[in-house]
Amino acid sequence: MSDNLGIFQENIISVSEFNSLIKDVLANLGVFKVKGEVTEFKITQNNGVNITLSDGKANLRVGGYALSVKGIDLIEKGMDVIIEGAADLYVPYGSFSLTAFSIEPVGEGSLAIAYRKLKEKLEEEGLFALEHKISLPKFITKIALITAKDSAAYSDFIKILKENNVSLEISFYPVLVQGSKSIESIKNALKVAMTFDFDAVVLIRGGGSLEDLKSFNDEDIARLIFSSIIPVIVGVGHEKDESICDFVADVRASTPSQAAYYIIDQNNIFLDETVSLGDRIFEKIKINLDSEMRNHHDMILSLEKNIDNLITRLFDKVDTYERILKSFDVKNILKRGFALIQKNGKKILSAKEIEKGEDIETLLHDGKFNSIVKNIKYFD
Amino acid sequence: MKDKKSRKEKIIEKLKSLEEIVKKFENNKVNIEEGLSEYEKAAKLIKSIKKELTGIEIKVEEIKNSYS
Repeated sequence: MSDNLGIFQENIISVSEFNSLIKDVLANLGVFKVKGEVTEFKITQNNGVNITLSDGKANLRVGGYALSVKGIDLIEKGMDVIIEGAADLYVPYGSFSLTAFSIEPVGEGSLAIAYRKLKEKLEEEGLFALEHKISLPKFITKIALITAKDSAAYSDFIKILKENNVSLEISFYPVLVQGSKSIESIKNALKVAMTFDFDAVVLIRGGGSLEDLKSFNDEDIARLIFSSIIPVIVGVGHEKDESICDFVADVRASTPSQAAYYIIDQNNIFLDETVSLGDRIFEKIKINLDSEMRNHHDMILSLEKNIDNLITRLFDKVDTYERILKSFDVKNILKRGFALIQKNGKKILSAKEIEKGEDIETLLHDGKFNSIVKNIKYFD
Repeated sequence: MKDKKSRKEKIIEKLKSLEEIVKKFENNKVNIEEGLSEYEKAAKLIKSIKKELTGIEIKVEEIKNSYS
């Protein structure tokens, strides 16, 4: 670079050549992060950025195209900010400026303003609306856990699950939750987790100041959570802490422990419902079974009755035949002193059937004898 | 060779035979000699039927007790 400049140092060049040369030199200096207070702030009709950044000793004019400057919509006059950009020179006027790529507030006051502005903006866009919230599955079996390794948030979350004997498949994505690299770290973890078939993504961290929670108030992360088709549970810090990610999350837990309880409760509700359903099915089966048993019992009783009746009828029939037969029992009659008389094997029922001198046979109960008819007398 | 006829069939057949004998007596179609023999036959049938019916009665009670 110094060789090139040497050529010009020996020659006379025009103003525009000089300005263009300096512009090129500045372009090669790379990207800077400059901190200061916004003392003037304006966006032109053509989306041109016009900021004056000051540290009390010097002023810096900051330009750029508003639609491509990240964080520009969260800025207002009086905020302390860090502007990332490249040095530039406007050739026609020879005016020096910093072309901004992104602006981020610094300090609690500025962060609070930026937080409020971003919250209003995203709320207006509908990112917090209930109709966009995705319900957790009925029973959660596998989750992606995004938080800092060895953090209190991680320990609390795991401890609660263990204490409640929850069996979960947990894929842990360790991230930085604080500092300049935390936003990229969380974004990357979310992007990777969202490519898997998890039942839920859990993003947690402990509490802190607005500066500490800066990555959880980042617009890109908020939009990433909103775009997720997997339900995202966010649990940040203590009860009082709130972040943009909380509002955009499908399930907002007040603390990392609370995030664990949401999962436990969800699974317990499912188990209770399943047990209740099982009980209802069992009860229904029992009622049907009892009814069948009653029918079966009635059938058996009816069958028993029919069999008993049949046997009784048969006994009665045999008894009747027995009685009839007994009335025809010749031996019983003969035993009482009566006799049967036959002629040529045929019963004689009348004195008129025999004649004097005929051979007749007389049967008694214990024997028989033959005799010749000597005399016949007829009764009147 | 085992008698393949069921107990029910046997009882019914015996009852039929008994009924025929009773009818013969009632219709006065037996002479003395035959009457005695038929009467003996009927007495045997009655005894046999009653024995089988009692056997069935016991069996039915056993079945009832097995599931009550």
